[in-house]
Amino acid sequence: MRELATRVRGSLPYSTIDARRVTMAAKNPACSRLRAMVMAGVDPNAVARDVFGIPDNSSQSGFALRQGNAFERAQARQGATRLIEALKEAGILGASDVRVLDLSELPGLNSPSEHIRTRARHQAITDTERALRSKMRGEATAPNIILQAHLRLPLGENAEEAIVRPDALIAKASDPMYGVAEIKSFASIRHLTDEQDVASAAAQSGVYAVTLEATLQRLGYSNPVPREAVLVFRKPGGFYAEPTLQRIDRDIEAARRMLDQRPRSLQEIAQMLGAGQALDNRANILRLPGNFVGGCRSFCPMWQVCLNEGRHQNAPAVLGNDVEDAIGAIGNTQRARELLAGATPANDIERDIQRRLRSFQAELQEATR
Amino acid sequence: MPYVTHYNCNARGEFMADHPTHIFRNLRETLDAMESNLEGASPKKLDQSIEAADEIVQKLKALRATAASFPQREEETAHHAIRDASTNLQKREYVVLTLEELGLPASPAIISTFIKQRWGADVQATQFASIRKGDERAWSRGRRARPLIVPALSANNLVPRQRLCALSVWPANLRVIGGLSERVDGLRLFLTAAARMKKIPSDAWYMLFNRLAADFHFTRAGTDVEDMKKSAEIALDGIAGHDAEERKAAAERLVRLPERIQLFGRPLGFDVVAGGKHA
Repeated sequence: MRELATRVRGSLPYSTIDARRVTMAAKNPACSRLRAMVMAGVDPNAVARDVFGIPDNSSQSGFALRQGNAFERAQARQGATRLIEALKEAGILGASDVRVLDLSELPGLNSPSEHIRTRARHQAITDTERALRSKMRGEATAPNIILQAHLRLPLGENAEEAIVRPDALIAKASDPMYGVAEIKSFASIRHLTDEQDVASAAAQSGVYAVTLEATLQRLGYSNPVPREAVLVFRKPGGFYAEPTLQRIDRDIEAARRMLDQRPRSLQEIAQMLGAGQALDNRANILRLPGNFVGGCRSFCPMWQVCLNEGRHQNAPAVLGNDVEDAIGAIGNTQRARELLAGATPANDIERDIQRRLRSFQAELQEATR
Repeated sequence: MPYVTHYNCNARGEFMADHPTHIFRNLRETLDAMESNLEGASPKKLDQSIEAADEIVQKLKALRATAASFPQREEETAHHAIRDASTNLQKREYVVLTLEELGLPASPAIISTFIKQRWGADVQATQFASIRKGDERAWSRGRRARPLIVPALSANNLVPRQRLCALSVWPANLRVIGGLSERVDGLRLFLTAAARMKKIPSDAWYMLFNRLAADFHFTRAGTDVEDMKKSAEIALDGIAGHDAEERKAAAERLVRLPERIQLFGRPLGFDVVAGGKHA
């Protein structure tokens, strides 16, 4: 498995697959190009930078990173006291649900040595699975909060494995299973909280939930994972937490869809690339089918490559989501122009699109008169 | 009950109602009351009040002058004695002193702040890893006499905890950390801080008290120290027994292992969870 992944990566280095990257692929499940990079353990930012020469602007601001880390540390310190008190106040945990397993304290997880890091990760995975088994057996000593649990998520046959680390798994002593939680230093201002912040935290939680479910199945349990995630945001003006429950059904489905899409194995990707070919080459990457949509601009470092490709192919998506909604079914802006100019529709779909385009045109002329 | 600080306490930590700061507060309250009833006050009465207030201000100034010539307060003198005796110590010695004083495993952040407040010395939290490694190397070279700074160990698998320091001379059950231990230790530290803050109202304990009170959300219930202590005791009673059992079981596993592992924890990939069996 490792050999095939190494072959597919070519000269590109292996980069750990985390929840952020899986979430990225889940945002556009139909994009085989991005999925192939994730499955092979290649950093899409590195591909955009090293293979296509696109400047790398993926790194977060130092201030945002520091604030995020400091907020998470503040929640975890002294036996996650702040987090527990906030969860108790929100009614998510009971008064006696204060048992914590903090896996971020495991030595070696941030070691510069790859060997030590790998050993530490294995230990964290073992400890997480032990805690999950303990919960499934209903033991009183099962933790109520697991900080930085390490869960394995196979990304298809022969593919590299993602190590997904939910910020926290949370359960009352009486709950049958843990729910996932995401801790972000985004300001929580009740109904005015930034929707984008909530959506990105929920998307990550969806990946966590799917991974937790996969882990439980691997351990031989079929308990359902709660469809509500705990989003822990920051109360403005300090480092105190404000937890809220958020439904993540759609995010779970999006993550599942991404895992079910083809290519489902590295073997398939290797076949698409051709014998002896790897992802370190511009032509090879363009050989993998992309799927540019307007939303790609917000998360994918390769969006510019796919946009240019779409322009050459007259793809409707390059003109935005509205145009794609209107004429996406014929897949070509050139044909849409012909239909608008009076070409005879070849089928019912083209007839319908021609009627809608004429109606839009009439509306536009009316508005500009 | 008013909030107790070292500004309005005597050397035994008792609140002093006749303290000059309290006299001033009473004056302020009287003035506020007069302001709200200004319509009923005649100019003559106001003049009399101003004269009386001037007299009190003069008395306060005289008190201030007398206080300046007094010997320092008992606890301040004691505090300075410790400070004098501990100047020019090595950084690790400050850490050992602090851990001895706290009596419980603590994070580098807490120890570092405590040292700063207590002795004015600067031991950065980022320096703890090298201080700890230095002690481990010294032990490897055969130095056994002095107490070592060692990592607290996870009760789960006896591996060292990254951000929690302890002293080698402590019993094993104090050095292992279970699922409830950090909370239990935090509550114990809070109660110690509340007690010490009264007896020796030094800034370090006061800082620790405030920090832990905020973390445990005790400040929400009011600012009364006794109420906070009661809340902490109730929280502690509910979990201390379970924690002690868990720590005892882990300590029993620990003491069956080689001395190096007892002090510095087991290396990763060396499983001792199942009753001390190595895998």
